[in-house]
Amino acid sequence: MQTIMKWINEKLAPPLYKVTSSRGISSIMSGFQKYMPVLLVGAVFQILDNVLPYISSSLSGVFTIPTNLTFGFFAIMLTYTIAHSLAQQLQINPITSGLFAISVFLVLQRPTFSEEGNFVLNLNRFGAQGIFVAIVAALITTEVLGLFEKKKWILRSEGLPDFVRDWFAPLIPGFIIVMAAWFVAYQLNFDLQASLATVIAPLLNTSDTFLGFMVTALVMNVLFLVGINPAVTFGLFFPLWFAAIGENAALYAQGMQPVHINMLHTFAAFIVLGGTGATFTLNLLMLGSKSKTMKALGRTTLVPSIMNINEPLIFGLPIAFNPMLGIPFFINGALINPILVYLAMMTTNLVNKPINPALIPWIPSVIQGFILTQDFKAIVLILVEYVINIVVWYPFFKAHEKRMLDKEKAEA
Amino acid sequence: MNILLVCAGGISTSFFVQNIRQEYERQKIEGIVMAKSITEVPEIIDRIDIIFIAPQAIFFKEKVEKFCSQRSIPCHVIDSATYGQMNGKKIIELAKESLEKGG
Repeated sequence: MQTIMKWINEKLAPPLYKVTSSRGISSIMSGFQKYMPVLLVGAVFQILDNVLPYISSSLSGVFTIPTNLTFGFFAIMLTYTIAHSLAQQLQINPITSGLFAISVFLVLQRPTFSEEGNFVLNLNRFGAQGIFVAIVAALITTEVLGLFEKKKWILRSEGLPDFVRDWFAPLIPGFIIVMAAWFVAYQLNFDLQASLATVIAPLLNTSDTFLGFMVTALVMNVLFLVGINPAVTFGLFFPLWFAAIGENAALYAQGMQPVHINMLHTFAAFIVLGGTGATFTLNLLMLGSKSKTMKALGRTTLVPSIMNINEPLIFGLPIAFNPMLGIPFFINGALINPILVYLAMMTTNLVNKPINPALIPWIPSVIQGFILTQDFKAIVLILVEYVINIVVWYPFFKAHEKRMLDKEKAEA
Repeated sequence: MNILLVCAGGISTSFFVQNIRQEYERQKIEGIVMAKSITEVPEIIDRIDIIFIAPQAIFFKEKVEKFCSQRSIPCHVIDSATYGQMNGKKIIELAKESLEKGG
């Protein structure tokens, strides 16, 4: 155990943090976060669009347009927010970078113009399917602008007011980058989105297999158990997860079965019940504990647990570096919940797969599960998980409680 | 006294921040208490007197220390027990102690 911990601390964690805190990955992460307010509004419209037809069939499709123009415009907005975040890190003008990135994104998506002057571009190129083009456009554009600024390959306008400088400084790199995008997209006839899709699609399909799903759950739990918050890797995986939920949402809107399950949304609502390791039911057990320490801690950590945040519990009880509680943490979080969810959503199709893009890990699981799938059976699934989780926790909880009681007696 | 708590996402520490703020009111201490993710540290560090790092974010210690040493701001990792109990009083004591020692 000691050797493993040492290896993780010295060999695994530093490079992992280096990659995830690199400016590219961290600006993808922060770009997603900046887009979240619009995403949530889109999610509300999507729920209305799906629920209202049950009330009256005349309300069918009423909110399709606002849904499409918020969540459906995912990629183009993300282009702006990612470029904005990266520019902040490079300390260049974030708005200029964001605007150039939008131009580059649009050019790379190869719209056509009809004779009547209509701008023709399939909606899916603006949305979740265009995420990867958005990332490429945002990162390359901003890096080029940053490079020119750093090397001072910019038009000088000394003695002129600052705002004039801001206008002319990006003239050369801005021209080059839009020109290059145009050349690639229209002269070389290169379709970036289609090319990237040939790489992404197999990735998504593999991650949706039983093995792929279990490995994801395993990695998340192991990272957490050794003290690395999986959140640090989210920048790497956000694009894949949102591509998956985007495809599910689009399929559902067309009346077809969603296909993807392996995404943060699923984990947040159905697996991380109370936090990684499914500690919500453990927290409930603590409330009734005979140990004063555990009972008091259980009260302090209850509200965070309801909101699926268990770091206080992990370090307070503690579960971290405590093999006895690590075992049920692992059985529940990495085995039981993922298996149940896979059986319910993938194998038997009993519960609808996630279709709503809202990523809201910090609201109670049952509410999250319902919003995500818009299926009441999702709530039943979570309740079943709770029951099994509490049974698994119980003997280990009792053993830990005994140890704590002995300690309390010795101290008294 | 302006305290910043840092964790990976700034989420779990935000509960702790609420406890510290309550303690601030009780003790009538002036200042801001914030929870932020590691990436946001450079944006706000100039308004901060002392930084505490959550135990799960210990890997970021070096990075935070780099920012801190440039501005001679003290920075400490919160011990697991204090963090688990979200003991706001303890953090305030630690902060006062550390700042007095430095000043």
